Amino acid sequence: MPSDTVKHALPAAMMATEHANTRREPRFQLRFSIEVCGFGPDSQPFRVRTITLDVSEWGCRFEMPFRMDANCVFTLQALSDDAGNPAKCAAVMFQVVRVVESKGRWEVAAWKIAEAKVWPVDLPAAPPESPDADAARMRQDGSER
Amino acid sequence: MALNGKLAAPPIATGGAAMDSKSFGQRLNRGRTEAVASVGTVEIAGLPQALHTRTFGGLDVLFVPLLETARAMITFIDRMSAAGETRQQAVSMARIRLASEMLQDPSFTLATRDLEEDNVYTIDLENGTLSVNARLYAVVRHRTSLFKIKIDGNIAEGPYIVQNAATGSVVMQVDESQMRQPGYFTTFLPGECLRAHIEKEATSTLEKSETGLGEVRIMVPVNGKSVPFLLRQKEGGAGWDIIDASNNQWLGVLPQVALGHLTQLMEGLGRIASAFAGRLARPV
Repeated sequence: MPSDTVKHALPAAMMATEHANTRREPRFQLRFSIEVCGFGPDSQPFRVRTITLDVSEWGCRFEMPFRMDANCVFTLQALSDDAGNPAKCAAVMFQVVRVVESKGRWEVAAWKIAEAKVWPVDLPAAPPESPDADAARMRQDGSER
Repeated sequence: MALNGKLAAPPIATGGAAMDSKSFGQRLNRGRTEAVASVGTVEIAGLPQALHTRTFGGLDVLFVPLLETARAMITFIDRMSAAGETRQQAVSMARIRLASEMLQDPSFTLATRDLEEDNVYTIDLENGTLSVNARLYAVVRHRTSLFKIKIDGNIAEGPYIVQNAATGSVVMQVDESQMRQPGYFTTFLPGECLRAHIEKEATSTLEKSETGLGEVRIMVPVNGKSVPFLLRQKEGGAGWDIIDASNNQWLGVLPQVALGHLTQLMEGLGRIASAFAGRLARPV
């Protein structure tokens, strides 16, 4: 991912519904223990515990032992922080944004669909986007095509 | 089954609740061939966002597939609960599954809730209800009437109550087999809404309205239904117009032959009215 994608964030109310390309916020390589609950490609329900690869206020990446379908919805609950201390966090709904196979496992990138606290630590918010940033980004996107 | 086990995540008790082999997308395909693009939003109670479609939101396309998929979720909830999962967890899983199935169809995306749209479907898996706010269009003689309706019913077994959302009056009660018939939402139901509206308006018109000078209102039985007509004298007294009183549409001019009968009828009624008024005017 280009480094400039972590510079700005949209207002919180818009974050849940903005297109993936327009959501930019800083990521942190924090390894939280999480429990993921949803439905696999075979439509069978699963509940799996795994570790995050990195997290942001609205998103995260983690590894799964099997594939998850893009766009599907699941719940994610943080069980402990990166030091192993138990966390008291509620389960929050996420949507799968991207799935990549890596060494026999599946790396899942996801984005939460509700404005709720997910992680056992507070993450620094991204600076608010300037009013003309949308236009600037559209110009940039257009010139890249 | 508790979610907070110490080691591996506990398995989910499905009670052998094998998933229905037919997906939402497969169900939706059935109505697509003659579908007219229509915007729609599906709100699942407990899901923070709504599912939005710009093309397949019409009642004729979405209602039955959505009902079938929601019904499969109710069965899923019952089986999970019977197998030992808490009902709350079972409902939560069903919510996720319903949303995921719909999002596998490329025409559905997540969107903010409370969008003002033509068709809004609300599914409450906790209470097992489906509610739809929609607009229907009835076209008669190149004139279009718009109706805002609300359909409420039980997902598992129906029946479904159709209400006029503007007046709150019940238009009809229907069962699922009727709604599965081709053209039900595009032709039959709008027609029923229009019929109910005309009947109500005709009744209130005859009861309340004051007919102007040179006007005759008459209800004519046509095919078992009462159709209101208005005969209105042209300015200067040169002939009479025939008007459909239900929508104030001009239908034609009263033929000369009928004009003679109408004149006779009015003169006769005038004489009767005069005599009746004379009796009333006598002192008691």
